[in-house]
Amino acid sequence: MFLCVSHAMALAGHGHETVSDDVPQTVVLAPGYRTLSYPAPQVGSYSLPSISDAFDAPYLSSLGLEGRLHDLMDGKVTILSFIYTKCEDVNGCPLAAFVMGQIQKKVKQTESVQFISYSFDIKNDTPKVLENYAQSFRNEGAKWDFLTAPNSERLENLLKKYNQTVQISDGEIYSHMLRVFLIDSKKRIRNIYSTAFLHADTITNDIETLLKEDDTAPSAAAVRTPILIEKIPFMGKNSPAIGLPHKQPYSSKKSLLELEELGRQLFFDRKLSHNGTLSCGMCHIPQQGFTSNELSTAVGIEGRTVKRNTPTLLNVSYLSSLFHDSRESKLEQQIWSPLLAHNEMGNPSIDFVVKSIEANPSYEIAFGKIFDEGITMRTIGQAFAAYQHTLVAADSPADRYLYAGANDALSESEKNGYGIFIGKGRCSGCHLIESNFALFTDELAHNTGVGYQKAMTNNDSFFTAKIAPEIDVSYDVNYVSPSAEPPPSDLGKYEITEIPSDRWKFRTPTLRNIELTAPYMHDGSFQTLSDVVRFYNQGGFNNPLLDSLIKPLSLTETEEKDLVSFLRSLTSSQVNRVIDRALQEFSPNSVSID
Amino acid sequence: MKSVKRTIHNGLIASLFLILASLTSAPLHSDETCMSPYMAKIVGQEDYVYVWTLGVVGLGDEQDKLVTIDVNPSSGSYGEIIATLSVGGRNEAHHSGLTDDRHYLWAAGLDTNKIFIFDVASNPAQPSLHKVIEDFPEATGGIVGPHTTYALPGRMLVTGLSNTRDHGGETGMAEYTNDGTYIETYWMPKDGALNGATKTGKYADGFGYDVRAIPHRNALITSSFTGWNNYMMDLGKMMSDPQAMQQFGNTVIVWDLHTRKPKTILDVPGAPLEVRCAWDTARNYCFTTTALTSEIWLIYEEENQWKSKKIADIGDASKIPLPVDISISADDQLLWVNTWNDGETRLYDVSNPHAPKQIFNKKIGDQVNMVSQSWDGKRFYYTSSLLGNWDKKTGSKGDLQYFKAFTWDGADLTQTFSIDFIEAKLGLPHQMRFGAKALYANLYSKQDDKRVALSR
Repeated sequence: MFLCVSHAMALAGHGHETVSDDVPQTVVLAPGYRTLSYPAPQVGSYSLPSISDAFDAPYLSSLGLEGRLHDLMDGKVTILSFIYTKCEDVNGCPLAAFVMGQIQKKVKQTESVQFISYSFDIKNDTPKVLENYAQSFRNEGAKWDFLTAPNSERLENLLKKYNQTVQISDGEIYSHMLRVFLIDSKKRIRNIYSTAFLHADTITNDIETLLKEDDTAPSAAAVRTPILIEKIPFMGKNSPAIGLPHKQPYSSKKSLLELEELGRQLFFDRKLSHNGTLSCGMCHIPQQGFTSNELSTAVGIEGRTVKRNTPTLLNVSYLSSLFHDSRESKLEQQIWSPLLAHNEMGNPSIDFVVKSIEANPSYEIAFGKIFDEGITMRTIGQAFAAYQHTLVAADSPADRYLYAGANDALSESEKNGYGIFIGKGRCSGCHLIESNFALFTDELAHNTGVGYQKAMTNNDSFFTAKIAPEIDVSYDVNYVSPSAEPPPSDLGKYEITEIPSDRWKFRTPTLRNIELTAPYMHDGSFQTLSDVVRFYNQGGFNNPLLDSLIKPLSLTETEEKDLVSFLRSLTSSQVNRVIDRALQEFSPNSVSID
Repeated sequence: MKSVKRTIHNGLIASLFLILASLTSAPLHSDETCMSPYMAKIVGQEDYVYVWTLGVVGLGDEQDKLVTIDVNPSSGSYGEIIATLSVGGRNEAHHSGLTDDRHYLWAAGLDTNKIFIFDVASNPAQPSLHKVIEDFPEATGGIVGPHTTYALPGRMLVTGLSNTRDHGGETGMAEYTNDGTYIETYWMPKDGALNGATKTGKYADGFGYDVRAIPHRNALITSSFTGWNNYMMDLGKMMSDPQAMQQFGNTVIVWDLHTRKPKTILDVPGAPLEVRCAWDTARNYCFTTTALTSEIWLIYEEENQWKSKKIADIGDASKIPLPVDISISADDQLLWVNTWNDGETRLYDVSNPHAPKQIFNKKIGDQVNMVSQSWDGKRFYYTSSLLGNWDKKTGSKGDLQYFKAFTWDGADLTQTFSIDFIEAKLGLPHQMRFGAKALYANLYSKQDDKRVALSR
C-alpha cells in the first residue's frame, strides 16, 4: 500500500525509532529514478507467464472520447498504470509517469507499444485536467493515453479487477497502491510492477521479450512443466519372464487390459486415502523398487507410525503369503488392509472408499464396462489385484545363468556367490531355488532374531544420528523422548496366530531385485546388503525361538562380498519396463479402452 | 502535504502508519520484520495477531483454525481471543503470509496441500474464508507441502517441501495470483537438472523450504528442509531412522528474482530453514539457521559472487536444540533465534554479520517456535508449535502450547499476557501475522463519488 502523501515519513533516515511530524525527514528516491543496481535480464532469455486476462472496461479519454480498454490494448504491448493527478508523492504516481516516459524514449518498436495512465480520481481528473497533466510527461515515440472512468460504478469494478486499493478520507484520495501492469498484444497481464520493482531498463527488456515471442506465447496452464512425472510411452505386455514359474493368466476376461489399467489408476490415486494425501504408490514407489528407499519403516496418513518396512510388490503375483506376517493370501483381499488401516490410508469405512471411487465419473464408466455389478468391495479388490499381477520383473543375469544356459551371464564373483548361496551360506534353505524357476522365498515365517532383539533387549540411552552428510552426532535420547511416542512392539506372525512359537517370526521375502529395495528386514533396520550378510554370517541374533536353519556361517570377507555380488545379479532386466508403465500419464480415457 | 498527513494521523488509530518498505535505502522498522519487502507495513501499534493453529485429536473441535487475538493495549478486549475460524480437517497448519496489499492471508497445510485464503480486509477483527486452493499438487505438476506464502507484486510465491512422486524432499515453488489462480511452477535445481544454475559446492539436492527476496540485487534466496515423510512422522521415529536422517536439505539457492531462474547453489549442510535478509540496500546478505547442525549461516554477496559460510553455533548440537524461527531487527543489528527443544529465545548482535555474538537469552516455555516482533522492536509475540508429530506430546505436563506477548526494553523481555492453547481447547499455535483496522479504513467505493456528487 503506497501512501501518496507519505514519502516524508515512509522514507525516514537511519536511526529514527518512530516517525512523526516532528522528526526531520529525508526523501529517498525509488530505484526507478536511479541507475539499475544490477544488470537487467537479457531480452528473450526468459519467459513471462500469463498472470491473468486484462480486464476490459470503458474509459473517457483526456480528449473527451469514450471507448473500451480492450479496443486500445488489442494488438499492442501496453504499459498500464493507475494514477491520480493530485498525487504528490515523488515515489508514487510521478514515479510511474517518469519511468513510463523513460521507457517511451528507450523502446524501439514504437508502433507496437503503448502507454495508458488511468486516473481513479473521477472527481478531480476531468479530461481537461488529464490532458494538461499529460503534456508534462509525453515524449516523442509510442502512443500514451491518459484516461479515466466514465462513472463511479465502472470505476469501482475496474479497481477491484486490477486489485487497486484506494483509501479515501473526506472525499480525498490519500492512499493507493502503486501497481503498473505489462499487458501483451492478446490482452493478457504478463508482469506487475510496484515501487521497488519499477525500472525502465527491466520493463523495456520485458516489453522487448514479449515482442520477440511468437504467437504461441505461453498461457498460464500451458507453461506448467511437471518434471517430476516423466511421460513415457506405454510399452504393452511382455512375454513371460525367464526364471519365474509358468502361470495361468490372472483372468480370462477379455477386458483384462482394461482392468489392469483401471487398477493402475486406482493404485496411484491419492484421493483413495481419507484426506487425499496417500496412494498405494506413495509407499510402494515404482522408482524405488515398489518400496521406499528413504524410510526404514513406513509413514501413514497424518504421519502416523507404521511399524514395518514397505515390502516390494515386484513379483507379488507369485506369492500366496502376503504382508510380513502372512496375514493375507490373496491380492484381491489384501488391498482392504492398507485402505482401512487407521495408520496407513485411514479410510473410515468400506463405503467411504466405494463412494470416493464412485465420485470419479471415469471410474464409474470403467467399472461399469468390466463388471456387471459395478463398483463394489469385490470389484475394487479385483482391479487393484489386476495391476499388481502385472508387476513382473525377472530375467535377471542370475536367471539367464541358471535357466537359460548363459554361462557368461554372471561374473566369477557372482558365481562364487551363488555357490555360497546354495552351500556354505545356507541361504537357499529359505530363499528357495527350484530346478526350473526361483521365487527366492519359501513363503514361510522364520525367527532370525531381528524382532526379538528389538523387543527384548534394553534400548540404548544414546543414539547416533546423521545431522549433515558428513556429521554424525551422538545424543542422549532424553533430548528427544518428550517428542517421541513409545516405539511400537512387533511380534510378527504371532499377532495373527497367537501361537507363542510364532513370536518374532516374519515371512521370508523374495530376493529378486533386492538391490533396489533397501533398507532390509521387516523393520528396515539394515541399510545395505553387506549388513544383512554380516548379520547372517554371525548366526542372526540368538534367542530361544531362533530358527534352527540360522547358525554362524564362518564366511570369509571375500565370501561375504561374493554373496552380495550374487544378490546384486538378481536384478531384473524388466524392472524399467514395469516402472515405465507405472509412470505413464493417465489420460481421461485411459481406463476405458474399447 | 502536512495537513493531509495530519488528516491521516487523525483518521487512524494512534500512530499507525503504513509504508512500503522497499522504497528506501534506509532501514525501516517493521512489524513482522521478516515479511516481504513488497508488502504494506504496520509501523505503529498492531491491533490483531492472526495465529494459524493445528487441530489436535481429542482437543476441542480437533481441526485447524485461524485464531484472532486482540493485542492492542487500548482495546477493551486486549489479550483476548476475539475470533476463531475452523477450516475442517487437520492439514498440518504451518506457515501463513499476507498478499502485498494485505487483503488476503494465505495459510497453508503441509499435509493436505490445501491453501486457505482468508479475507482479513473486510473485517480485520473477524477474518473470513475467501477461497481454498485444493488442487495445489495437481496444478503445480507435483509439488507437495506448500510452506512459505510470500508476497510479490500482485502475486504470491509458494514454496514447497515435497512432491507427489515419493514424498521425499525434491520440490519446487509455484506462483499464484493474489486471489489464488495458478500461474507457474519453478523446480528447485538438483544434480542432473541444474536448470542453468551453478553448483558451487558438493550438494544440489533440489530441496526447498523458505524464500525471501532482495529486490535491489534482483535476488531470491531459498533454503531446504525435508520431505513429507520426515516432517509428518514422529520425531523419535525419525531420529532413530538412519535412512530418514539422510533426507535433509543441504543447500541454499540464489535465484534471479526477475526471471525466476536459479543462478547459484550454495552448500549449507544441516537443513537451513528460515531466511532473513538485511533491509538496508547497502547490505547484501541474509541469515539462515540450520535445524540439525544448529548453526547460523551467512548468505552474502562479495565481488558479485554469492557465498555461504557458517558464522556461529547455536547452543550444543548434540542436545538437539533445533533452531526454528528467527527474526531480524529492522535496523539489521539484531537477530533473534528460537531454539525449539529448550524453549529458549536467543538474541545475537549481528552488527558485524560475519561474527555474531549472543547477548541475551530467555526461556519462553517448554518449547518455542515462532517469534514476531513489532516494527519498532518493542513488542514480541511467541508461539510454541513446530510440527504436529514433532511437538512434545500434549499429554506431558508443562508449558507446551501457548501464545505469549512480551515487551522488550533493550535489556529484558517482560511478559504482558499469555494464552494457553490447550486450556482454551484450540490446538497447536504456529505462525503469527499482524493485522490493523486502519489498513482497511475508508476503502474506496462508488459511494464515495456519489457522496461527492451530492455535495457538489
